[in-house]
Amino acid sequence: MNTGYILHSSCWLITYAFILISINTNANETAERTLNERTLNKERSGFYFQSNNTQALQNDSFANPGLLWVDSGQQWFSKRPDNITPACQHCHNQDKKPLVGAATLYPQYDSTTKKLMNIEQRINRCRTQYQHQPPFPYESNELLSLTAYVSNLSKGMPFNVNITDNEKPFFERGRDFFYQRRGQMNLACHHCHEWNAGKKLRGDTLSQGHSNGYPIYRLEWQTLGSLHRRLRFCNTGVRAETYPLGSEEYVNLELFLAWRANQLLIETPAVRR
Amino acid sequence: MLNARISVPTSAIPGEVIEIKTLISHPMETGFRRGLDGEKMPRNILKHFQCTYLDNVVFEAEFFPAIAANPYLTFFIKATQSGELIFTWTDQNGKVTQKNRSISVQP
Amino acid sequence: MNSNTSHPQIHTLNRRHFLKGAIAISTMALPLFGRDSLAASSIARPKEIPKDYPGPSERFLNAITSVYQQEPISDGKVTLNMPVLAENGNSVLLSVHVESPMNKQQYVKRLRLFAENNPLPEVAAFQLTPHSGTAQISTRIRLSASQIITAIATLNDGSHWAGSAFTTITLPACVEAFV
Repeated sequence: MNTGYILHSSCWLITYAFILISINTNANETAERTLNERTLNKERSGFYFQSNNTQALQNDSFANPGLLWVDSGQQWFSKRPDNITPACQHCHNQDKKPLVGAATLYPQYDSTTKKLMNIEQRINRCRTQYQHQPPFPYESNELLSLTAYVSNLSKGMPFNVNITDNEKPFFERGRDFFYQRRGQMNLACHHCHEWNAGKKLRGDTLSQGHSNGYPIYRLEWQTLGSLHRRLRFCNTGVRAETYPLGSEEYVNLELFLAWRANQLLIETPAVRR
Repeated sequence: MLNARISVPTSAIPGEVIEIKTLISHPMETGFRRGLDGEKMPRNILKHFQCTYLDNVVFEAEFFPAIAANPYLTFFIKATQSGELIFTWTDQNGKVTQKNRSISVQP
Repeated sequence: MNSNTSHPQIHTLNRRHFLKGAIAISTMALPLFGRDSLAASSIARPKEIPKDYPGPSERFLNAITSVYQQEPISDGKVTLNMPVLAENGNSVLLSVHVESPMNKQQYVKRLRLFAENNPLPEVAAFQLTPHSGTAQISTRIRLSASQIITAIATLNDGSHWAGSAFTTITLPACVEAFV
């Protein structure tokens, strides 16, 4: 491990910690009030918390860099893995099983595996079960592209996840994760994204932590990334244990986040700082 | 072959100055960042861009590591007659990505 | 490394080190600016820059000298548009317009962009032709710190013209945490 990197990270995290401690104290004092305000206030997409320039980049139907992945996702969607295997669009097209709106319904309970499944996992399920191909690794360009393409088909449609008895146990675990303090900084998701949304954290404005634009093009990453990559980044930020991409913990949380964002419109590919 | 987006008006009148937009997927790794192992990640950038119109080179660009990831570039050309525009990106190792677009120029 | 008391010390040290560095650069840069390069000394500077701005790096002055030698660079013709404030230095929108006819008799031949305090001050170089119609480009660039960005156009008569802008970066690039 490089010493410079550790030193740099430490300084960074100390600043971070001081700010967090200060907002945290502040949060405890005004918890009741801000919670009430939040219920009264509208849910706002992360878009709302970006600068004009970043918003303009997201809205630019040519220059939004996330569209590069949407384009290549469309190519993957129509490409046959080999001469005998059908392409995705063989089963999913305008006439049958169209995927417009599909992204608004995920994560969803899968009766075969009796597990919760997000879009990435649903794409890989198709790939292994119907195309007999090895699954794409999480965060690979192929999986990000297909996820971006499929989610982009639902752009402008509101999140609409359904919590039935099947989803309920997963939903509750996801909700508990959101309100569970974790890491050396002892912070839960809701400390930043409910109590302190709209306030400054270093050069950043805290968002409400909504998931309606994923996969997102993050300027800090300089590439497209999944919601789970962002969750790992959040967990690292509060010096907590991170879970693997595609892990049950994150898929459960993803369902809770989707439910929280239920009235918000899908923006994929969103651009964030 | 890299994935690129190109915007060229499909038609123009002779003498019209038209805007060309390009966006291409490339990490433009600077060579200054360090990876998890503490080692510098090697530089990997697109070095050169060229646009030809009716077989003439009308615009060229040389890129340095300060060009943001997934390079975005817009410029203008004067439309004179119908024909083909060829866009060529070359990376630091000489690997080429080429795309073309046609434009119809009529009074 | 993991005791709590050591952290504030590291923080203070780094800050002090940084301040010393900044002062050293700012006192060094000014004489260099006029001494080494006629080209660099004649470049237009934006009017509003922070009082504590360290000034151009030696790398930038060297780059200017090696490209333009001792040739004068005039102020004007070049309009460089940059955001006053950018929230991430990894991708900052830039556009340049050069006021000039674009025909065989008179046109902008070359346009170069410099970010004077980047580790590599050269950003891009463009070659234009009379077919360009108008000398205008836009792109997205990386800035490693708040700094002056300069665009220099060379016309077909060999004259050089510069325009510049100052952009403040609220979160510098290159601190990507790998997770």
